[in-house]
This record gives sequence, C-alpha cells and structure tokens, in this order.
Amino acid sequence: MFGELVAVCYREDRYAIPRALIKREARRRLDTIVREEGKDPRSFGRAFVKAVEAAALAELKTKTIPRTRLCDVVWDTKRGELRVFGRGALATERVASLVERTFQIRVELASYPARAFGLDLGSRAGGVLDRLAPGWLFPDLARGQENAPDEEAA
Amino acid sequence: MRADDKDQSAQAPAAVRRIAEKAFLGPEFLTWLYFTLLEEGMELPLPDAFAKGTAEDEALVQFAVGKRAALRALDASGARVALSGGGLDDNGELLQAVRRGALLEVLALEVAIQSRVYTVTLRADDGGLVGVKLPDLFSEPDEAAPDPTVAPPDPLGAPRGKPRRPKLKLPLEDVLALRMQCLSELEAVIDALFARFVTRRLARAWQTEDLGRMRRHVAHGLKQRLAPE
Repeated sequence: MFGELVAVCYREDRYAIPRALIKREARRRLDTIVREEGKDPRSFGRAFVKAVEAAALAELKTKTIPRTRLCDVVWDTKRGELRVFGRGALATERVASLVERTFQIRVELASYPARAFGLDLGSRAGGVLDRLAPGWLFPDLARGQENAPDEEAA
Repeated sequence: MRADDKDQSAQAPAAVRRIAEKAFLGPEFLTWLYFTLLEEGMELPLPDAFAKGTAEDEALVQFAVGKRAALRALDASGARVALSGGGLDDNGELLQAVRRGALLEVLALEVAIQSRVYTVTLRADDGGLVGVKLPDLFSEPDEAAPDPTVAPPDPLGAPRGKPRRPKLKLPLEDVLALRMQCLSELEAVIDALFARFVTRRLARAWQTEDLGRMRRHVAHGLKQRLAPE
C-alpha cells in the first residue's frame, strides 16, 4: 500500500516441457515396473498410464526452470482505476481474473467503446451512440467503385 | 440445418454485446486523431485535460507522429499494413491504405505536455498504451554552468555519450506516485482527445465536415505524389 495506491505484482510460471519428453519418461517408468514387479504391460489400463505420465510430469517440473512473466498492477483506490503493466491475454484476462478473485472487485477493460459509453453524453447523443455504425471514409469502396484520388478531390 | 446445428451457447450479457458492437470506435478514433493532428499543425488546445484555471498556453499540447503505425482494412479481408520509421506524418503508403478502406489500429505518438515529453503507442483494439516512455523526472536539473578549466570536447574526436545527470534519490512511494501522476496526465490528454472525437462523431457535422476534411487530405496527399515533376 502506498497511500491510495495498491501495488501488486503477479507472477506467472510457465513450464514448457515437450510432450515427447514426458512420454519417454513415462515409458521408462512403465518399463521399470514391468521389470521389477513382473507385470504384463497389456494389463496397464489407460488411467494407470495417465497417472504414471502425471508423476513423470511432476518430476520433470522439479528439474525444469519455468519461464516467468511478471505483471505489475497498480490500483488507484481513489479513482477506481487499475493499471496493468502487461500485454496480451496475460493482462486482459488472467491478471484481471486474479485481481477479481484477490480483491473481490469487478474489472472492466477500458477499451475505447467502453470509454465512449462512460462519457457524460446527453440523451440524444447517447441514443445516437447506441445506433452508431462504422462510418466508411470512402463509401465508394463499399460499393466496389474505387475512384482515382483526383476525381475525389473534384 | 440440422436440429443440433443451432447455437445453444449462452448469449453474452447485453452490456458486453453493446461494447463489442462498437469496436470500430477505436480505429476510427486513431484515424481521426492522425488527420486532425496534421490539419491542426500538431498542436491542440486541450483545456479539458487539465485542472480548471490552467492558463491557455499551458493547456496547449504538442504532438508528433512517432515511428510506428499499423492499419487494418475494415472489410472481411482484414488486410494489414504495418509501417515503421520516420516521416509517418507524410507517408504515401499510409494515405493509400486509408484510401483503400483501412483504418489505423496502432499509432505511435510523441506528446509534449508543458515541458514534459512522453512517447506512447496507442492501440485501437483494447485502448491500451504500449511502449510508454515517461519524462525523466528523477534526474537533477542540468543547470550548472560549463567549467572553464575543462577543455571543450573535440568535435572530430571519438563520439562520447551524453554525460549522465545524477539521479534524485526519492523514496519508493514518491517514485510510484510521480510515475502514476505522469501516466494520469498522459491518459487525461488521450481521454480529452477521445471525448472530442466522440462529440464530433455523434454530431451531424461528422459527415459533412470531418469526413470531408479527411477525404480531402487523403486525396490531396495522393495527388501530390501522383503529379508529374
């Protein structure tokens, strides 16, 4: 807490372990079970193989350095504004979801349309905004009739 | 259509759909901003971005088009043009892309608010700011007179970097507050510009004045490039 600012840093660890490596490690474990316990490989059910793969993945994770991404979040409690210093889905989805769960607040993305609806417009302008459609800068393109620029100027 | 082909997923809430339907406002804003800045000589008075009572000359914000812009066509093709480097304020490729129906979806700007200069890239899709460079507020002001005993640098000698100014040592709380204040100042300018755009966009004058002005600018710019020497 820094006065009215709440500063939080979220860390996201991502393990990029190739699927082939997990398969190979699981295969090695299954071979060990067959060799040491004398079991028939055909008796291994799908659930058992999956459990061995999960155990192999857990072990590989302990040996792997994860890719870490840090994302700073500064919440101005007075203005009700949250600044997320990150990009992409990390900032717009995962961190927003974490902030919602941590602080029990609702996070809305301040995209331009959202800002437009947040502006103090009159009732007439508000109605126009509701019905607003994309404005073609060059309507002739929509009709498939592209004119030369000098014709446009004329 | 088979019975199970029907979309049975829950519909998004009305507020979310309402915002999603107006996604075109972002690219339209950046395109309007680009042409407005060019028309207005890269200088706009934005009193709404400052506290009441701010002097007129202090509410004057200067802009420069940065080194990055990207445009995307509004139609289903979604064709994209990415431009980088200097001279984007007078760029034929950009005008040609606009003429072919593309709108700006990324625009780099330099913004000078009073004596503070910011560098920022605006994104149209999520309203985010990318690559923000805040003014250097943490260095001691460089006001010391040059020392006469020290020889001036040799202009033909090896290039030497700009001497670093000593940094102010401020508590973390102050640094954070100062940086957030800078960001707020920049956002206030962008919000004021966007409010101005929305006001124009919703007025009848949009069709008669703003669109006409942008079309003329594009046509004039392209004509200049096509005209024989």
